[in-house]
Amino acid sequence: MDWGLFFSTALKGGLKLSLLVFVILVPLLIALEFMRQTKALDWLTNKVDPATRRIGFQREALVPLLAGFIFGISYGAGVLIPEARSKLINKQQIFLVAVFLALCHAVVEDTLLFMALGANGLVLFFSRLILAILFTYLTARLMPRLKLKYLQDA
Amino acid sequence: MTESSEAVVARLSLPSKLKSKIKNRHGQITIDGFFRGLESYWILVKIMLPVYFIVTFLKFTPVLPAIANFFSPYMQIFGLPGGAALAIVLGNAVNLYAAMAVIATLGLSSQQVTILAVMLGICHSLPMEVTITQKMGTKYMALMFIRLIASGLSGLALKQILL
Repeated sequence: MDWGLFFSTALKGGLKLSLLVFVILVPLLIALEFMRQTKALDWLTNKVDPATRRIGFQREALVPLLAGFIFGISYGAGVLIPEARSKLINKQQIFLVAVFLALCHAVVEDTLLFMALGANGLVLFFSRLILAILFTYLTARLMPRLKLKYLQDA
Repeated sequence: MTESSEAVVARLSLPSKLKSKIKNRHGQITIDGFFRGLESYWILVKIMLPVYFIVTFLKFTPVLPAIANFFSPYMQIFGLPGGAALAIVLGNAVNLYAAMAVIATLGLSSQQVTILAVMLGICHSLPMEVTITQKMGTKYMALMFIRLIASGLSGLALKQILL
């Protein structure tokens, strides 16, 4: 194993990753703060809420959900973690966001990447979206019956 | 149950001491957002970098090609050639870019690329993303299995539909 090459690859890649996350996440959260304080976010969640409510999401879950859906699961988590820590969003809703985002996230980037290789973008996008909706809906339906200790809020 | 955005702002904004020094409203919003961004960034980078180093290390060892070799005979159940196993293993253990480099060399039909794309789109970069969902404070192992199962099922279904 070539240790020199490993270290140079790991350091360069690690630096690139840290920079990438910074230049996306910080402006994203500043933009979100503007949307929150100017009520633009209320307008947006009002539009999305009737649809997402049907599969079990409450309003406070929509911001991390949308951020992760468009930008990627890391960025969704970046939005969600501080809100989860300040108890703005409960554990059931966190789990639902995680189920949806695990199956369907970063739809712009991933879809374009695979389309460049010759994949059918529509099939790719809708397969993921439909599976995510299905699993979220089933989880939301089953959660109250499972009575998992973990999902009860302290 | 639901909170208005004003209540959210009140609970998340900076301590009033620092806030009172900033007069301009937009400047204050920017600084609020910047600090929240910085906080999230620090949480994420702390977990992403170690995972990144471990995964890069794994890429330099022969472990991943060996796993791919083991799985290559089973690729036909998804209508894919044996070589696609390496794309799936790299996509799941490393990231989509590693998988794409392999897919480009396989000479697959458009339908086969679509099948592989859906399977990898649903389930990829597991070390990184499982760690992130763990940090979200949720059932991360259950989520990983949901993804693996959904990925396999969608591969089987799309083989029937597309090929």
